[in-house]
Amino acid sequence: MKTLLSLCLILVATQAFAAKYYQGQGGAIKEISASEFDSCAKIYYRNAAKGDLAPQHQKGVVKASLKGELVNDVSVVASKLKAENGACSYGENSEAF
Amino acid sequence: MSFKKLLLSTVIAGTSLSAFAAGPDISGYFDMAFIAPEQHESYWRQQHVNLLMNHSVDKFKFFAEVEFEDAVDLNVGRTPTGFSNTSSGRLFIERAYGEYAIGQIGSVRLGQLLHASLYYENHYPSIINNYTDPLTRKTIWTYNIKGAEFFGEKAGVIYEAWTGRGPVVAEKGSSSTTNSGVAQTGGHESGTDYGGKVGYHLTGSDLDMKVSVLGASYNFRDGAPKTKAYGAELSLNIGKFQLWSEWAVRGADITAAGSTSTARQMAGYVMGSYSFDLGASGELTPFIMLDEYRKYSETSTLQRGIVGLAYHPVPTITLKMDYSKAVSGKTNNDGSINSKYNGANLDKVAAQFVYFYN
Repeated sequence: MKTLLSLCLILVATQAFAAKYYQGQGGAIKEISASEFDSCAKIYYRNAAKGDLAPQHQKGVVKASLKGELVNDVSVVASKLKAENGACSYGENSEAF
Repeated sequence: MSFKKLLLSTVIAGTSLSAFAAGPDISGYFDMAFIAPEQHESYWRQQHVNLLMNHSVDKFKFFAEVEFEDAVDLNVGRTPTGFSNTSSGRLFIERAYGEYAIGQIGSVRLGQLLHASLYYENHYPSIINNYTDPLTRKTIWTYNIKGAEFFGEKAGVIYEAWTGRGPVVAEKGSSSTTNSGVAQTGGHESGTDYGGKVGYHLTGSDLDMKVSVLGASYNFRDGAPKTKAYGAELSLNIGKFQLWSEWAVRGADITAAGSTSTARQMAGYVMGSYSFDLGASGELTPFIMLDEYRKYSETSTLQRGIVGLAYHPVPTITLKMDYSKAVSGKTNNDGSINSKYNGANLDKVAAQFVYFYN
């Protein structure tokens, strides 16, 4: 039982720090690598999983937060990615579109 | 259900909720500055403790910025003999709006808005390199507006229109001091103002450039004067190089009887910077800014130079220092001191620490 509980706690911690990257392509959303994320046409920043981001994107999160440009709802991110070809976002490991 | 099963279920439920719940994002910043003016004693300034709230659902968005300025100490209340107010600092809403996205053409915002000029939109201590604000700040444009704006960008064309009312930026009313070192004036609120912006946004592999023209009509309430303002702005990013420039003119206030009550004003700046990537040690950005201010009732145009450095050990922490000095226009032809320079802290060294949290 203790082992199972420990595994769950590890899962919580892992989820909080692992990030996945997504790109909109012709109305669909596909998962991309962290390096592909760097060359996106437009990036919608979320406040999730920020610990995993490269410094340039951590800087982007700071700027987006201050300018009121963060998008914190997964469904809103999805609608933006479907609408804008080549736009990207990132999310926690458990997020799926 | 046994306690262990209940605990396990709670942990699993918590895991699921943390993954999908979209609570509001909370972030903000704190800063602390040391200012050493040439003509006055040096002092510490704890200027901002700032709270940002952001939430979005479907095509709607809410955003608010609450600012505790100059180490707010609210001490207001009744006393046995009446009412006392020994408060210091300022607690206020800098921005608070609801936003709705209209398809791909743009968005509408309603609420307390910042004027959509380059410096106002980017003036946050964590993302600008300078501590000392350019002389354009709170000089030409009304800096915040209670009203509505529509804005968007399509095929590189930037467009924006707004209407509302805000504090009158003119040489009257109460005063306060901003980071530019100049005593600012203003006080009562305007009537229904309106304005807009049109520009072009050009992007390339390592290029990001925006150039815009702006205009505003200020219509002060209750028979008070009215005026107009015009300006142009440029932001250019090529790799690690950045150039910002804004120039604007605010007309004289025209009273209902047709006479002018305040002199025409012009202000502008050009600021260039280059960011050096120091790898694991962060990023270092030296900058230079030249700015000027002219009040047309005076013969001199005040010109100032600012040089400085901003260092980000990590993207959320900023350490900066700048030196500003008025280089010309301190006196008018008749020997009188330029009113913008007189008594202001334009010549100074300033250092600031900024902590952004999220």
